[in-house]
Amino acid sequence: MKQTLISLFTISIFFLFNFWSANSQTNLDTIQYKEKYGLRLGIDLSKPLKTLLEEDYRGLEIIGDYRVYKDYYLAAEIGNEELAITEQNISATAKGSYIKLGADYNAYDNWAGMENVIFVGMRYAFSTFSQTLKEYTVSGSSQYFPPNIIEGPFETKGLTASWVELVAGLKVELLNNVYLGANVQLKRRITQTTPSNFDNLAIPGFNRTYDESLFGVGYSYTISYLIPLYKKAKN
Amino acid sequence: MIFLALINFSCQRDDICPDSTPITPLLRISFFDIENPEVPKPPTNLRVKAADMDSIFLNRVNISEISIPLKTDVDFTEYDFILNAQVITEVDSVSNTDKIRFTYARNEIYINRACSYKVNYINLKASPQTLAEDSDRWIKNIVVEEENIENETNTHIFIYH
Repeated sequence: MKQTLISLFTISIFFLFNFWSANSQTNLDTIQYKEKYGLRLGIDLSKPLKTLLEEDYRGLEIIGDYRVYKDYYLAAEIGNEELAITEQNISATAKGSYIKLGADYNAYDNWAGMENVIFVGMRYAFSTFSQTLKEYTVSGSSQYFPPNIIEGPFETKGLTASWVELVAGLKVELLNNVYLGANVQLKRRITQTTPSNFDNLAIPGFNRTYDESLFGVGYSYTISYLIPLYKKAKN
Repeated sequence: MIFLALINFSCQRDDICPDSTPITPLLRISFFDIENPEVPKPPTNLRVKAADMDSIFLNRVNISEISIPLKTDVDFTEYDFILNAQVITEVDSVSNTDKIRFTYARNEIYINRACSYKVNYINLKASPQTLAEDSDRWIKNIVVEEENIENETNTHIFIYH
């Protein structure tokens, strides 16, 4: 009795294994890999982290992209930031919201079944913000009189700026539909309104500005979730 | 490549105010001979100090042209111009102190993030202040040559003595 049971079990395992392996064999031959299309939503991790670590920073950015066609994605970021600039003779804060709209191109040729992204992209960005001059020291060539430090705050509201961004980065699917990403941004300002007799030392979304230059830089660490809407065969 | 160039660019220091940037100008004063108004005449052992400051700005100089700072937080600065200043700063019979009050309006102008703001002075006036004990003024005449102090290329005030 015991003998027959064991042999039955062995046989059934054998068959099962055989069936399973045969099944997978046919799958490998005929499978059509389908790629997920959908809306990917997430946040820039660096901003809440900086909010915790830096005393004079506060910010949040929501990111999203939508796969339109093959390797092309519509992409957008929307955020709100308060940035502080402290120089030797002047300190200021910029506070406001921004939106970035554009597209990404996935330049990475994935292996079958993987859907990672190494992308380059372009954005048009617009920010509306206030600039607050907190404190400054009048510059004089003589140290004879004590330094003349003028305390604010002097706030100018209703400022705007627009710029274009070149973005390059990657998004790696860490868990099913969960992506971890990183990117760098090169920004070039197109328009800005400045406070009278002052300048924008920082612009939300643009980061700090540079005197005599229209360029700016930025980076993001992102976590996002892909809401799959439909699947489509690769190619 | 672009990003490498960018990192390099972003490390450039624009937080130090370069010496070449014009900041708050000093008041340039030239001394001339009252007898011969075309001829520069250095006052002998001139000491210059702000009336409300303990420290001395210029001590016992013999030059016909000086540059002094004006206050940027109030609309006037008073200076003592001490002729024949002695080494020991106690009251003596040799030195002769004349006080001049400079009044002006201030115009604060933003320069950049490194240099912050500068002040240009407008509508400058210079008036000698009578000291109670001073019967013998060594400064005979003060002429404001430039009412607006925006740079240090020209002399703003001529003093005749």
